[in-house]
Amino acid sequence: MTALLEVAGLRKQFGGLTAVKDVSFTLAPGTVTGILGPNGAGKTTLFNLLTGFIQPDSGDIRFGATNLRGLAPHRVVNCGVSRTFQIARPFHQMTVLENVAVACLARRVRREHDGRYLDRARALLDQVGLAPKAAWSVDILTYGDLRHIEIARALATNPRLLLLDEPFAGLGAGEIQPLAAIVRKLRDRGISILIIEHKLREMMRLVDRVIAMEFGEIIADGTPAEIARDPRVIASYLGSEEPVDGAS
Amino acid sequence: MPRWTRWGILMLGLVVLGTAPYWISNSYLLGVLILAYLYGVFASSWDFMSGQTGRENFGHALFVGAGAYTAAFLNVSYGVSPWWSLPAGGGVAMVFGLAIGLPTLRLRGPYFALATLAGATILQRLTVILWEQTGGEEGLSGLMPLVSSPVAFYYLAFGFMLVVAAVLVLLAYSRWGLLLRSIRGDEAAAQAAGVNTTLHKIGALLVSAFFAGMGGAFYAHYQLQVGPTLFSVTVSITVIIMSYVGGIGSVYGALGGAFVLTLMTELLRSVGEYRLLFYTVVLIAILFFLPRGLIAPLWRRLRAGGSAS
Repeated sequence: MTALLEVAGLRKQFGGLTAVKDVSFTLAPGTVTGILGPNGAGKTTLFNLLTGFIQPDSGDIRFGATNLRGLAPHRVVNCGVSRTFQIARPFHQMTVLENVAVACLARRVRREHDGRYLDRARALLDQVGLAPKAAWSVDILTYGDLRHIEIARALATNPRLLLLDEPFAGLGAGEIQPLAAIVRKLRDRGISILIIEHKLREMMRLVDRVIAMEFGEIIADGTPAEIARDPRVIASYLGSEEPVDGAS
Repeated sequence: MPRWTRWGILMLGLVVLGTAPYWISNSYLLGVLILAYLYGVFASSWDFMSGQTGRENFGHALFVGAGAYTAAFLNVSYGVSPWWSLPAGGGVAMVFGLAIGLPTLRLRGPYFALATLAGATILQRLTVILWEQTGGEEGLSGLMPLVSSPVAFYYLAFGFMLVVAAVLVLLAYSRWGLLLRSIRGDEAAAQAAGVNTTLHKIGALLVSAFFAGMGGAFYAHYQLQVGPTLFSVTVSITVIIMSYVGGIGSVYGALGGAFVLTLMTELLRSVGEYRLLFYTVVLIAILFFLPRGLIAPLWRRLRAGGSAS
């Protein structure tokens, strides 16, 4: 099977800090992959590199036949790679429907809906359960609703690969399951998903494969069960055992 | 209140203004209305770019002045028909818009705001430095009026304002307006939604500059003279305050703001140069008590049929 995404030797340095250090991996189509790692491991930087928000110092990002490296964010979207943000970023002072409609105007999908972009936006709101709130201002929504808007907006551009940056962050227990169900439905529709998440239990249930990162490098790569047993991952998450008599 | 109330009010206003020359014999008062129309063009064109995309232009006077001086050069120095002034003024203002927008609108941060402010100030200086061509502090005079009869000129200004307002409002409430407002809503999110934000910001600035330059040329053929104060910070700030009073980002609100403030200025003629101080106090009061402005929220409230929206 040919890879959907092929990342090779990706590197980004901020001053003296190497945030992403020679990261290479491939994603097969139709899979859900999790990225795991403590704060500062370079996960969000990796997302920003993949989506054109930050340009890498070196390395390649092959998506199908195109090299995404050097493309501006809106071009990456039009190639079929969409993302959500770690902290929901709605279009303030606009309605819920308008928030999704903006993404329905992306060049990639403009021809599909034949000018009926508001209908497309309504259909997407229906999918994430926000149709009754279409006319509301986004500024009065709960955080959980904003998360759903992020996903509807990312789906509006009809992505082949969806990058979710901590989609469950800040959600209550009752809000996680419906969102996880939406993510599973997307996978069943054949959309490949790359997901950063700290809520381990939810993520491990959702993904086929986990890539673990620490200090900008990939330290482990395997099935959820393998990763949960990997000593380096355990060490990076829970801290390695200190000798009892060790200094500090 | 029934839904048609606001359209009734609008129609009544248009009829009152449209028949003004018949019941206002005072030509000074007609002049005030003409000024209100032209400031309406300046303010709504400012709001089209800055109100919608959220990138503040602190030197809209640059476009107004560029249009006005273009009119003066063409008409006085080269004897070109005054009607050519309008497209030429708009075109020259667009060139300035491109020169400022291309390098600065791709950046985050205050660079665009600073460049517009500096651009207007530099041009104001240049009019003094290049006094042999521009007439220095005294400016250029002897422009021909677009039409000679004051009543005809009134209707010309009224029609000009209506056409510009219609074009800007239609654009603002089209798909393009939706994209522009998404940039104000969150620029990074707009990029992630596939919007080429730099391109749209520059496009909006060009439209804004074009109509401001056209308005400036119109203004020059109304005053029949141009001077360096056209580039002044006072003009830029006045335009911004009008948009805020009207309700930022709505475009039609800016027209209302221009109208209210121009008429108010005439009531305040006795305070002379303290006008700007008064304006500033009005702006602070608006920002404090009516952060969404005065005119646009009022209009929306009428749409909601009198219930709070």
